[in-house]
Amino acid sequence: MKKLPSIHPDRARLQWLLTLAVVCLVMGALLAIQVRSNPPQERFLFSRFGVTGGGPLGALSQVLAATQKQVEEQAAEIAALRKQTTEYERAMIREKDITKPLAEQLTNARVSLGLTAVEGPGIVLEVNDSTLSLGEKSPQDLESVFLVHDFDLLQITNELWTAGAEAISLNGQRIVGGTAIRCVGPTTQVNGVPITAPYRFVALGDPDTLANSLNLPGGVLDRLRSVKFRISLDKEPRLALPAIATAKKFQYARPVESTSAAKSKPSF
Amino acid sequence: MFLIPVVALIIGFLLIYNLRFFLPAAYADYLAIAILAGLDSIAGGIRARLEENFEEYIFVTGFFVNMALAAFLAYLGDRMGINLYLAVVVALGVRIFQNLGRIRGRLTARLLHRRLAASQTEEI
Repeated sequence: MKKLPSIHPDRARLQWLLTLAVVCLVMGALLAIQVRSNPPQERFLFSRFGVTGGGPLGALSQVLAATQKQVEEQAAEIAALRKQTTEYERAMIREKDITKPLAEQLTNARVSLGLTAVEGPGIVLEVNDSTLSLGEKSPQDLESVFLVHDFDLLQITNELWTAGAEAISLNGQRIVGGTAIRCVGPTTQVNGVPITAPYRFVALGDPDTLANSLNLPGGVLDRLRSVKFRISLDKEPRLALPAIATAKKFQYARPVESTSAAKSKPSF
Repeated sequence: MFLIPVVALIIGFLLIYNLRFFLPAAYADYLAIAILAGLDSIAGGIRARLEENFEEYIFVTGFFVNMALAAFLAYLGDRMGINLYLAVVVALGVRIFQNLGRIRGRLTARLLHRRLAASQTEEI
């Protein structure tokens, strides 16, 4: 072990302190950079999405957060623009009678597309996981038999449409032409938005017809009830459904110019 | 006297903080591990000083090289798909604890010696 050559102790002490001071200066600078570049909410993101480290993953979390924020902002903008459009249309209707039937057509189209919020009588159907269980030690995949899955929700949606529902929403998400209900890992997604049990369907239509169709023996609810899934079905005289949050742009599907029936043959 | 390094730390911090130096967030993790390596170097340096083993060149070069190596290992781990980051964190953490333990040992020994020497001189 080498020892330092003997200098005056105070001088040695000062030298050591200065060396340490230089190093600490650099450390302070680095800490400042770190603190500046890494605000607390990103740390939350890292812990939330299980990112334990690594540059590229950290960047992806940031991108995800930014994109989600963008989606929220754009949804708000779409809602505001739609409100504006309906106001213009109302003004137009007051002016001319020709536009009245057109406006009616437009409103109907909008309702079926889910572009406007709607209200009316209908039913509220709540579906929750089964109360049964195979026991504490049963494996995960067998237990999933007692959970509500995407195909259950899709079947219910199917039956609602068949029963004559005019508008359906699931956990606040409007079901429209392009809506997909799918299982992504442990959660279910509707319109890309994750939702969890209990699953709440709100459907507008004739309450009695809807309820009777859903309660038919051999139907979805019958099957679920037999395995003790928790179902509650209520008829309501007045319900409101939100519009679909984001607008869809059509890149590949273009309307056919209907000049004559012979020319516009659909290709199956 | 011994406050000089602390003051230097604060000055370095404030200088860069107010200059609004910004690092792309993707590199934040590498910087974090470099800082950890720096802390380990400093702890090692203080320990060496207390044990009278301090060598300036080893300390200074070790400080910068260890930081670069730690960041590099984390980066390499990312490219390879292995979480080397974790290995570096564990290794540095262990070293920091060891160094801090030895520093604590030395400091308490010195404190006891002084108390003992003081009480002895009083007796005499």
